[in-house]
Amino acid sequence: MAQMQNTQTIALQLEKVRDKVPLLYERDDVLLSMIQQRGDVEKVSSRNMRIPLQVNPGGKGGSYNADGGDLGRGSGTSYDVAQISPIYFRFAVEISKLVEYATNAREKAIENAAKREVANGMKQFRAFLDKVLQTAGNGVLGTIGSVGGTTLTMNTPPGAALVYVGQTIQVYDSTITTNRGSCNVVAADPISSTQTITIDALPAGTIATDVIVHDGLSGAQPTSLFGIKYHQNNATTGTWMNLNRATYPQQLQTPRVNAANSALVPGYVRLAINKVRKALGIGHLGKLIAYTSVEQEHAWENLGITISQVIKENASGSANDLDLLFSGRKTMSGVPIKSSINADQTRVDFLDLSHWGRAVIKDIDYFEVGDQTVFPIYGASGGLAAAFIFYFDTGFQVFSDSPRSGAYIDGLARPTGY
Amino acid sequence: MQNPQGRSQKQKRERALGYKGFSAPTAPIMAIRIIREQQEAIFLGRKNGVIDTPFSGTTMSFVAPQARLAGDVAAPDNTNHLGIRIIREQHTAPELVMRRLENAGGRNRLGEANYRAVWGWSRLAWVGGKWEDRNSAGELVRECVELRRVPKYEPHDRWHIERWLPPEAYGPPRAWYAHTIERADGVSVPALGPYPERGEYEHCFTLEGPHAEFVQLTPTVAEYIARAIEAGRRASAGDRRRAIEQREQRSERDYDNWAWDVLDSGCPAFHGLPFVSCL
Repeated sequence: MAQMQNTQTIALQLEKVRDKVPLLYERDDVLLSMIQQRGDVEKVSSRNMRIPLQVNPGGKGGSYNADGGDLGRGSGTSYDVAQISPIYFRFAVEISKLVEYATNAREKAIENAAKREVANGMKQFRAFLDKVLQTAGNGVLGTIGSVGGTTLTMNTPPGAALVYVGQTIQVYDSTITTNRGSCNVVAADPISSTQTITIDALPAGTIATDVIVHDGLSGAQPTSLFGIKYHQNNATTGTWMNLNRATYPQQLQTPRVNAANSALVPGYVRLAINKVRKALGIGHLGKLIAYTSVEQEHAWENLGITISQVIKENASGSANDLDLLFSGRKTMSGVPIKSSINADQTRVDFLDLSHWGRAVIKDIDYFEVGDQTVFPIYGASGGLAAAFIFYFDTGFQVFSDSPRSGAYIDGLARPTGY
Repeated sequence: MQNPQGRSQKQKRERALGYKGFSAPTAPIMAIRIIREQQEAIFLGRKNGVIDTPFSGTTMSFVAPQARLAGDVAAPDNTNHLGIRIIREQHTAPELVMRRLENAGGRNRLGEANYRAVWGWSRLAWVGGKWEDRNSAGELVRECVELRRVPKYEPHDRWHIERWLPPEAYGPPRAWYAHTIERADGVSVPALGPYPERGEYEHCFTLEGPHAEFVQLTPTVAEYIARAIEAGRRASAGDRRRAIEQREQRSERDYDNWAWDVLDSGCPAFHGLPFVSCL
């Protein structure tokens, strides 16, 4: 009988927590998980998923001559079909032997190493997908403002907010046509005003105005997750979920308020909210959320018309939820705020998530070949390396069935200090 | 005089108006209130340069029995006892609440209280632009470009606390109109109405429970909110930023702890360590 391999032990430990993986992934605290899998489209095949949209109302209204006049003909509602296909994402996790040796008890070490990597990997995978969700559907995570050796100063927005240390990225030219090559992020500073990232090796030909995209994309104008800037967009050219925007310039436009690099004021918020109300009718704001960055949340607090976070935090750093029988949640003119460190620092998006959904072809799980989920790593010599690898993978796309149900403010100035 | 069905002219009139079933003093009061609402609507409509009512309906509307029988109006039953539908329920904050808010937040330069409590349905604001009116099924009924006075906040059936902002918070009038003028179908309207030259009250807080349930406005709650906002205003921008960053860090920690708890939940008791018997 063959001796049990360490990979099998790891696999057994991973198997123990397999049913917990979706739970860790779907926790409702980032925007990605707030966008629910929709029951009617939960499972899609590899063919395009079709979303029928009512693009124009039907019927002919008008007066007529009751004294024998012609009442005329009618018309019906016009429909068109938006289409999406899923994008596959993977997250590779390697466990080295050193991790196993780091604790004294052998069984506990294996178990802890597996659990830790599942927990860390899932947290990072969610963060990665949430970052991609902030983009315009092309996987662009940032624009290079200037190049200094292996240090790239990024334009804000989004600065260096959408990359993480250790991530593999690719550099494309500004038209997203020429792939200059890939590199790894060794340092990222999304906090200070300089917004720099440091990479291990600069791809040849990289210049300012180039863009960085996530790993796995290839070819010219690649397609990635359809993010906020894809669906919340007032463009009248290009395509939206396979529909030509020029064909339905009003129907596919999300109302926009251009702040023109000025600070956030209540007037902008009311303008944006009112645009939704005018389109959908009074009394239809119930499901809106104001999705924004922590910078703009700070800007809103600076206006002094909301209960500041500083009042909710106590000295120990734990939240004090104003024990007054009410939620104490922060709002922007009555619309609940959901802020994120990944959100565009110059935007506030008013989203009605009841119109958003995820079309899923493969739920989050371990990548599996046969029954195997853990794979050995081979060294340069062809012999085994002292490490194992396993993957999380999922296939899905994000859609919206009503781009006019939201609004956005862009071009906002960042508050002083950012 | 009785008609062949046994109904008097008075009964027929009551039935047509839809207020049959209310006590004698109630019906005239309702009628007066509705007339007042209609006058207000006409006044606002004239002020806006529009002939029609500036908002969608009056406080109450009588539902014609024929419409009810025809199923045009959603109703729990087809009886004609309650032919009234509440469209806009109005309240004003109690005097005590207003006084406590004034104590907590002081007065502005115009001598008005910095804070006030308003009922969602009662707080109206100008909204101009191209309106798309839809029926209950969400189908487009009409489009029109106009200035309407509509409830400013949602939910309408909750109390909201507002704070006064000075006119300079809205920039100069020229910038206000530059930002808010909307053009549609060749008509220009200021999307937020005229420039707030006396400042404007802006939303601070909606009184509702954790699950969006109604919470009654009381002087204590109102004062607490006003004082909490005022205390936050005294904090520096740096303090506010640090508080937000602390919250984000706590959120990260919460996820980590929660994830560990979830992953450990499948473990045997005491993480598989043997039980020790004590004799």
